[in-house]
Amino acid sequence: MNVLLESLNQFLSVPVLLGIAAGVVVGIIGGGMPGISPSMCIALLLPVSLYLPTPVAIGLMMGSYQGSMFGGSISAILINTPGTASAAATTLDGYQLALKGQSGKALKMALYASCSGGLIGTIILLAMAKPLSTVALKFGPPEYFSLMLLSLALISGISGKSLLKGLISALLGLLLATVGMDPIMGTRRFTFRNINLADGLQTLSVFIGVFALSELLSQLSQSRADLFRKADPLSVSDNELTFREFWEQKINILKSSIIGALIGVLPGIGGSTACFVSYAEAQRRSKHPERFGTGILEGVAAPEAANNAVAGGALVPLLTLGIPGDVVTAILVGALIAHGIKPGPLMFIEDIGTVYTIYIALFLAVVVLLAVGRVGIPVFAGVVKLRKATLIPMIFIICVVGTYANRSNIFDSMTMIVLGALGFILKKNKFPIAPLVISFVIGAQLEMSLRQSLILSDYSISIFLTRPISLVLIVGALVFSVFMVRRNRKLAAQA
Amino acid sequence: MKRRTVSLVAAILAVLPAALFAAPKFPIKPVEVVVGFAAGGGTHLAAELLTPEAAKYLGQPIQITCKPGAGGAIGATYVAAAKADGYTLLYATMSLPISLYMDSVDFKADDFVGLALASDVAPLLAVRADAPFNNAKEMRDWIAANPGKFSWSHPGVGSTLHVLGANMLFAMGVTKQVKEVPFKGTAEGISAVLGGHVTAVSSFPATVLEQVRAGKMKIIGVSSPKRIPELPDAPTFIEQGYKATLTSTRGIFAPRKTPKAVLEALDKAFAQIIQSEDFKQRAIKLGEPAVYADSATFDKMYREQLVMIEALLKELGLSK
Repeated sequence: MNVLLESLNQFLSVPVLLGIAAGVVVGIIGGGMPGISPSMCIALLLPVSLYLPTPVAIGLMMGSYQGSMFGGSISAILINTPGTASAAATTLDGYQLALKGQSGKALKMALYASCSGGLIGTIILLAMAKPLSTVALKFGPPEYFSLMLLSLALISGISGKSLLKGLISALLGLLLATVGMDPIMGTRRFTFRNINLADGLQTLSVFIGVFALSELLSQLSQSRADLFRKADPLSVSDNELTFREFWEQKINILKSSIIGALIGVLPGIGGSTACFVSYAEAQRRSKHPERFGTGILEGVAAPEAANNAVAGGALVPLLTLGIPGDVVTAILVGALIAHGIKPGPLMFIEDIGTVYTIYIALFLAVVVLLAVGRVGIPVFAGVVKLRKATLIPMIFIICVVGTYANRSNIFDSMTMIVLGALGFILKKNKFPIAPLVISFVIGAQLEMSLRQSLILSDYSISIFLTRPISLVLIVGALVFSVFMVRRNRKLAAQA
Repeated sequence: MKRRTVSLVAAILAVLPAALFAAPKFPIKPVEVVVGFAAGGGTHLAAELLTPEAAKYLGQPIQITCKPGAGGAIGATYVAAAKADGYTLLYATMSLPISLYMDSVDFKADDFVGLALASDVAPLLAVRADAPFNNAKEMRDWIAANPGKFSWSHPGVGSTLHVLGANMLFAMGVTKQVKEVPFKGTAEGISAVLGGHVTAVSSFPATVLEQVRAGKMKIIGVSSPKRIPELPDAPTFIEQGYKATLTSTRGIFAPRKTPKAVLEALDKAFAQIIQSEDFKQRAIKLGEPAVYADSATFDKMYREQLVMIEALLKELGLSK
């Protein structure tokens, strides 16, 4: 308790709070800019942080972690361009809300869901770090595979009206995921001797191409008058988020946050999977699943709560086992080491002060995010007041620069353009885009863990059925698949 | 008209010597150091150590650019194709020679000249603390007695830790009896070892140090000529009678066609930067050893590594 008070005391100083605020602001801006991922945000802050006192440095990083997770939703909602990979699911409903002139409402929902998610993630970290880390270690390659299979089954619910078109789109995504180095043998697949494809298509290029660029192309097919028309002045009342609207999402936000935190605990899976899974789960449990994707608040609240909760989850293995849960926490390890702190299994025993420092920083980051977001939203929302003829070229530049900045590689911008054209063709022919993106995200991990498992089991599939956790997940996947197909049939029959 | 020509010639003559003197002046703009790995990763952080003193010793700042991908080969390709004027350098790991022999890349060994050695780390093989063997010999015996039970992980085909790990197992003569399971990174590999899904992990000391200190993992052997200061109790392979001493070097490379005067200026500046007290302090804080070798020595090391790695990969059955 003494240590806790001591750590708390450290935080009640102006420099530390300023550090958190600076982190949140940088995070929101970076997260809002496609190409600057949360990990890059922290990587950019890292050299600066080395010269700061430890609590300030930790505050700066936690601030930017939380800030960037929310920041990604800004561009996702306003211009259909996910600012971070974790915000990809937010585009599905967020952008539709913006098209309806409710961008302010969507942004506020995103902010409150992000803050709630961040808070719930922190509480989960605080209360259950130890037991969760024990469970995380039980997840070997077979469990990862079964979990990915379950995610894929859940997410198939987003496939839209036509099951066949959804499946084609998902298969296309899996195909795109096979591009690049074979994860086990190291041979190059579909790279056409181009070294830039060695690591596969960049997630950001896929996201920005099929979401943002394809949307720009669709808008260009509007009439000239539409493009030059001044945007309608929005009615303020419709653009506010009432407390009731927020409160209606409480179960959704709670569940999404738990999903986000739990997936965050498992090293290597990442935020975008967590967001799509919680989006799919929200849709599955919803009374009106058919309205998802048309611009409803549930569709914004779920992924945004999940991606901020991932932060708390990803810190679980870091603080208890010394194993970073995602790329951001991996960079955090470097920063902590440079500050003389050694993340590892002994941290809870030897350096509980630092653990508390991280908890408190994460918690305060959520509070600061709420304040900064409130002030910032009207500013961001101004974007939609621009005419399309002005906005479209600007977004195009952001798409190109964003995909370039990711690896400082212009090739990634070119693949983005090709994928944008692909997305446009799919959209024109009424193929849903989401299954493609989701199966692309899951595909790589699915393949990796499948093949790792098979090596360990001497190529016998019994490994998936003899391990209890894996078996439960596989049965879950089967149940969900049947459920999804039946619901889809019913929807088709109604239509 | 004539007068004009004369004055023009005079002007040129007046400027010419200045221009001639100005030509060897290097650097007149920031120097870009390309890192072939992701921002925030170990290699990037190690490269960042160079930046604070750059302006002081080089006269211009150093800018680190991360061009990750293909195990560092994308960054190397970029530098190999860049103008050889000393303004674009490469910060590379041992994956540079590895990619030349394991992968089809668009650069050649001769495209680069070693400028300065900045880091040298020994890899090791670690297992869970409750593994039924404690040293290399016991592990070998256990593998022989339990065929198909031993698996090891590395962070990706063609990574430095893949080749170095394979080399350790090769030295122990168990390559054929073990299962190789690549993971996305060392962290995932360690997590799989702790969870009992995989037996061993090929890792650098910094990543497993805390696990060893907490009694969760133990070291089977270190691939290094002598014991390392971070883990004084961990035996090397060579002292256990297995010939694995290969360490992983990191350093700065320049395109080989860079003018000699420029290379000399860079050599001198990096000598001062890497050997400065501040650099050492920061390196130790980051868990990096403070080592240095000048351009001549490092380039010789690079050449030797090329020969050694080509032979090694052939022996391991990993060459393309």
